Amino acid sequence: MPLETTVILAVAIVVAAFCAILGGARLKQSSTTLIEILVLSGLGIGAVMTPSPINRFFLFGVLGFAGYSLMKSHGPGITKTISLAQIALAILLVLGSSLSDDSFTMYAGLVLAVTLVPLFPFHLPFASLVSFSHGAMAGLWTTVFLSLGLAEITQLPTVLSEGMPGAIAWLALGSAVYASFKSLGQIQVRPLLAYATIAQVSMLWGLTTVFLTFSPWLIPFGLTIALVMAGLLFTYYCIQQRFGTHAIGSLPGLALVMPRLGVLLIILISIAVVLPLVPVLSGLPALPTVDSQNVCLVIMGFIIFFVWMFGSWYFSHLMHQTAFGKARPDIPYTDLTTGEISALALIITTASCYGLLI
Amino acid sequence: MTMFVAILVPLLPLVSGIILGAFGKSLRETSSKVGVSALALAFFCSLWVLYAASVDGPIRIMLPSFRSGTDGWFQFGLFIDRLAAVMMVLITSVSTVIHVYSVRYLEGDPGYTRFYSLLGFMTFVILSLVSSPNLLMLFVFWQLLSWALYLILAFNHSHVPAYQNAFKTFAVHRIGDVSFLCGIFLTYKYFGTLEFDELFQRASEQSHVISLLPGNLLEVSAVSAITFLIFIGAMAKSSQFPLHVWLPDTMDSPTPVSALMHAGIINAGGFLLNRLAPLYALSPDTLHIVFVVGVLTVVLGASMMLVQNDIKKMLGYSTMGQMGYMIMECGLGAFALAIFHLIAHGLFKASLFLSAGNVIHAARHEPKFPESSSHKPPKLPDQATWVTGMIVTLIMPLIILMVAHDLLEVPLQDAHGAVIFLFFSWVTASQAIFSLYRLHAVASWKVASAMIAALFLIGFTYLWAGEIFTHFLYPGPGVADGYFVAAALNPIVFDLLIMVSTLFIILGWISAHTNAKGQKVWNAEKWQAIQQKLYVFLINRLYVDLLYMRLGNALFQWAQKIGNRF
Repeated sequence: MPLETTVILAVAIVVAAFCAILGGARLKQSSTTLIEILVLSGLGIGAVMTPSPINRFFLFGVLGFAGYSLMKSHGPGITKTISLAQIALAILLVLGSSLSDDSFTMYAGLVLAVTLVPLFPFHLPFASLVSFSHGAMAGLWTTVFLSLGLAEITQLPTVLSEGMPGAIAWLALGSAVYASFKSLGQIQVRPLLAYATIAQVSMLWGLTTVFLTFSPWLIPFGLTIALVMAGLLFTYYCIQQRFGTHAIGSLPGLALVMPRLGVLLIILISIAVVLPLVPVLSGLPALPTVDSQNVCLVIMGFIIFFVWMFGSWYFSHLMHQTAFGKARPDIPYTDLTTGEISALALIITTASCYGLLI
Repeated sequence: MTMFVAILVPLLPLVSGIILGAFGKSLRETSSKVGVSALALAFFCSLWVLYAASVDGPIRIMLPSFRSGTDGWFQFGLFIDRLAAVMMVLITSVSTVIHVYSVRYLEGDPGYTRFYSLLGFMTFVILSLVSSPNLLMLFVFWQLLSWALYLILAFNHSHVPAYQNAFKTFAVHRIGDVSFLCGIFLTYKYFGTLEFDELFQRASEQSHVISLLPGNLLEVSAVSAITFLIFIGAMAKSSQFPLHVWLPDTMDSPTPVSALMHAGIINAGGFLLNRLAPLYALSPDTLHIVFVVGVLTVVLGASMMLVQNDIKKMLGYSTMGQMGYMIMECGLGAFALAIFHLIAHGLFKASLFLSAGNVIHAARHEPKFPESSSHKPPKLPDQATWVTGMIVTLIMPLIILMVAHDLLEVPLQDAHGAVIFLFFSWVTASQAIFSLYRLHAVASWKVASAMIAALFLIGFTYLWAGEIFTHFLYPGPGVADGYFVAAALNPIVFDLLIMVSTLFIILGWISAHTNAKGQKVWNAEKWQAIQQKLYVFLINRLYVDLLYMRLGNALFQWAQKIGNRF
């Protein structure tokens, strides 16, 4: 992997970790959480920056830590079981790929990629971690998973060109439809954002099947998704820490009583709504070279429709139920602190820089 | 110097928006001065630009490309021809007036500076949209416009109907945006460019066909498919049936926002069709669809307006009807006339909305109940009324046609442009009859003479101004006429349209006359029953809103089931 790419991936993890630590300072998060943040970010940076086969051990560490976090979490039993099974499979593939030949490594990389950059039906570990882990960790898990997954995708062009694009395109469409509906029907914030991330990255997978030579702008796009979602997860973590568990709609009108939070939330949601367009427009120059009868192109059209249309719906819905409306008079509101604002500003700035790279 | 002034036009509102957004709280009441000054200066700059574009030709300023190796395809910049310059003058003038109006209207509102910031940003977005040098930049700002409109409509975000209706607006625009994006995809796929001049040239030289079904079944020309998809985007922005549902519900936003929307933003669809006029001229099928949609929107918008009892909702439906006219004109190839209509409509509708705001505000503080004129017995139509109606509905249109054909040499016969004038005349005259019938008879011969003279003056001024404006926007020889020819209707359809329109006018006359004489030509009870059902249908907005709401709720419930089960 080129040095430039590894640096970009590592920076995203560092920013997310920094945000989790800096923003959590006011909330006096426990030393355990702090250690978890440092461990996860260290493992993630190691996995992207070290050469093969050393990076496999770091990846093994990340997956093991994910399994440990899942076991500690309070998610539903069946979901947890399936997630742990998929994590176990991923761990076996990591170990197997470091010991076996190239063809196994490539297909193992594909399965790892669809687990880390989650594609239905391999999405459960990601969704469970983001939905049920400790609030400060959710954004970091998003960034680490997507960064590592993007690193795996860069190794995949040969696999993708050998008859797999059609299957991946259909999986991406299924993932986009499923995740879009799932996001729309959520009543809790973190699952909504988890499935929103899955919907957004289904676009990324769709684009890899249309532009088989892995385009350099897919990594910045993936990282922009990661950071924007991490920013939103962190914002809602701030709300959750102040006012308790936050079901969508239980705490409206925050833009009026917490103006700083309102502004930053609107900026993040604005970016999230516009985001699906950016890689699509970036891919236009290569479009005339793509065969118009290519079924992946048609599938990609449907993916854009679902992700963009539904994304506009559930993100706006989230904004309505949180930022807009009449604020409850029985709650003492406190706006974001300087640390929290700095953390979110850093995430927005980094995401915007990555967006310009697209 | 001209280039610097041209850049200032969109830049000033943007800078104003950023300054007020960042430092608005510390500026407080002086924030309005910042906004007003910036827009006033932008207005004067736009006048300079209009002069320069008219005399020296289009102004083109391109910013460096973001990415190396892709020069010419993803470049932002400014392209200001006569069309863009005229639109810029309209937008800056209306925005300046709205800025000034808002100084007192929103005084004391906690979101005072936020409003000015959003207004500045929105003005920047619209100005950039009309001065886009290529379809890509136009689409980017089209998107930003949808989002900015959503944010400004949700200005009173603590008021639940305000943000719910803002979301409805955003959702409908999103449908149009998706279609627009598909059109852009196909454009680049088949013609390899999004720059306007290159696109028009390639589209006229190359002919591509798209198979909608496998096995080359159901083929359509690429230009028709592209123009149709882009037209759906225009439909959403310009509130065309059936994507009109958002417009009447935007009245919860502050009056200045309604004024800006009805005078500026809603014209985006008409502007888009004008900007792509050479492309649309290559697809008569799409132009016919545009015409049909425009006609439907006129009829339905005007009908729904008649049953409203809220002043702002009435103006909203009136705008819908006027936008239908504008789109209909585009469908008939009268692109320049559509822009003329758009400007005239924008100015008078903005003033109507701002006046409505004052009226509502005054009425809330006025303790006395207004006197109703319905206590007085209505005066029966007399000879003055019938003669006025005869002149207005039958004689005036014929005179206008003769003048247009003989003096102004408008190619009415060859290009079916007569449909435009006739249709306008017939429908407008129908409304005049209806007003005579519904309201009161003409008071005297003096009043009748004044009415007829005023209508003749307006008619001829409109005709003359329309011709001058057409030659101003499309000075090239034969360009405007070419659009008429491209949009020409099938002769049988054309004749049928004339006959049906004439029949309706005559039936309206017979109905008015017989009712005035106390005679009943057909079954009055049945007719009354139909009228009542029609009234209920129209007051419920044709049940289109209800249908969309039920679809949305069904989708939402289905999503929740998936969310819970899987």
